[in-house]
Amino acid sequence: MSDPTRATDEGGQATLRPYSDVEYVFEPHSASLPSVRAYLQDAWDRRHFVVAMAKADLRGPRSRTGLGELWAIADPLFQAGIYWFLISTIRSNGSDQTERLVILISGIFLFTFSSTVLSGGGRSIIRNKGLMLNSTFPRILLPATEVYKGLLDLGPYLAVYAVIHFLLGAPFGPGLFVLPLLVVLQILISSGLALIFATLTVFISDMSNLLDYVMRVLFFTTPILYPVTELPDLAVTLLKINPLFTLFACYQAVFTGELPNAGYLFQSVVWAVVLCLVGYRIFVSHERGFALRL
Amino acid sequence: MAATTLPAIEVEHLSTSYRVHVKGSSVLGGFSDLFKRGQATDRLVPAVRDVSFSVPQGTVLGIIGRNGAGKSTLLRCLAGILEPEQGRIVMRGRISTLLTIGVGMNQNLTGRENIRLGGLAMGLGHARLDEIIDQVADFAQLGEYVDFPVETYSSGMRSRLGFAVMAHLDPEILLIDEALAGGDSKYMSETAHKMAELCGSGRTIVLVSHSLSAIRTMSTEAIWMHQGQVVEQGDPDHVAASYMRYCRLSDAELLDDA
Repeated sequence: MSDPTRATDEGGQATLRPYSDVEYVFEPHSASLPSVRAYLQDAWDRRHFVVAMAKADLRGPRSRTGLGELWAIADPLFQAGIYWFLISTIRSNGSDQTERLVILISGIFLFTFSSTVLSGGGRSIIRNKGLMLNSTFPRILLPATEVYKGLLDLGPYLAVYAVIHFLLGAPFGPGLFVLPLLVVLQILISSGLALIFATLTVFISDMSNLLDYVMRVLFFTTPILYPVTELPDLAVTLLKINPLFTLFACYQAVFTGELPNAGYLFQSVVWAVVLCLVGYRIFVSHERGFALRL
Repeated sequence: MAATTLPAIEVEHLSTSYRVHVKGSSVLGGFSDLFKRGQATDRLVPAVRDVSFSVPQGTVLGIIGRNGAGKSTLLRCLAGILEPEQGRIVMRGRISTLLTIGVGMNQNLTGRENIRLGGLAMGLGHARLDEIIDQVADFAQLGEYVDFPVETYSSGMRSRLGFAVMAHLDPEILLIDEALAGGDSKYMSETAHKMAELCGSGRTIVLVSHSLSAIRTMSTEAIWMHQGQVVEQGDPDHVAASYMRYCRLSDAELLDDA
């Protein structure tokens, strides 16, 4: 219906300004996925939204507690304390207590980042139902907000851990130069998994409940409570199914003054690349269907 | 000036359906949906069926129809929130939407923070938002409440805030769903005034409403939707009259059946 009556008075309206050349085309996603570049550019243009959203989310729960922001640090420390008690009760062979403690504390601090990103990111779509049903924006911003929230805590984690590392008298080896790469890999692996979980949670309503168990399984299959060197070969082969396994094996080497195993490092790189690509692809090809299912 | 003659909204053979969970959701069903998109195991309820129309720039299009006719679904498709199952929609211009009042707001945040968050999601910058936040708060008559969490707001305050935000984001295409109700009579007349201002300034507006008088006074064109399809479109008075005739007719039929 192109109404001729409207076209004629177009010139007659004094207040009519030329429209901006923004153009949106909405089609079934099976017909066309947005180009990666355009999609990410669109997301990047709205990065301030991620910052504002993360601030709003974080301020709520923590500002009502006495320790406030300190809870972010206190929580992993308490956990480490509990696990240390358990480990030393179960096995008191006394050998290399420092090394075990280093592995435990660094592991818990670093794992907390992945855990925040995965459980927050996994629920990010269903939790923001109102926003999802009322506005249009690249949906990747919601899991991205959870990654950003995790990153805000990661800096302090590493700083506090550095102090603990020093106080324990643990070695500072050349492997520490690899640390930034490992952290980047962890961010990529966690983000990729978060995108996959965020999509699954929308399509499978049980996923939201399962997520806690998934996190627990990931925690125990990631080398945090035990040194990788003490594991039998078969266990190592099996545990490599966990994308965080080889990465945390590298962390262990770095924090105990050694260089990470090249094979483990390579596998972590592969995991990071694969999970990011797969996660992005799954998320973006389903995001327009999210609103129908909320 | 070829660009200005292109319609602001073009809808071609749009169809979309809702998936309804008939008997709970199954893990396997969810998985299979994930892999074969569009052929869900749940029941599909068609909401919009093969709808085509185009809206020239500056038109105020009113959409009327009974509950469940697919009006809100159509609007959500135009906003890019729901994915079309078939067909294609082209929107030329910056879009602002006012769909379900207050739902998009984060209850823990203050009114001011909600305005900012909504604007940022739309892609506006902080500088632009600084300019409009006070105007929005003024228009919504929130007073000091603008710095209170939205959970403390009355429903009237929420709808005022929602309308104020949408009206001040300076969009070229406005999509409004039944959002003009709510608020006291003084505010209602101000809303009507603001709507008239928005309508007369060359913006393209799509308005879903059950108020036929609102459609008649504001829109320059109307569509009557029934069971997901367009029954009639054209002059608002004509379409409204046909719709009224149909409503009386169907009431009479219902009485006959009884």
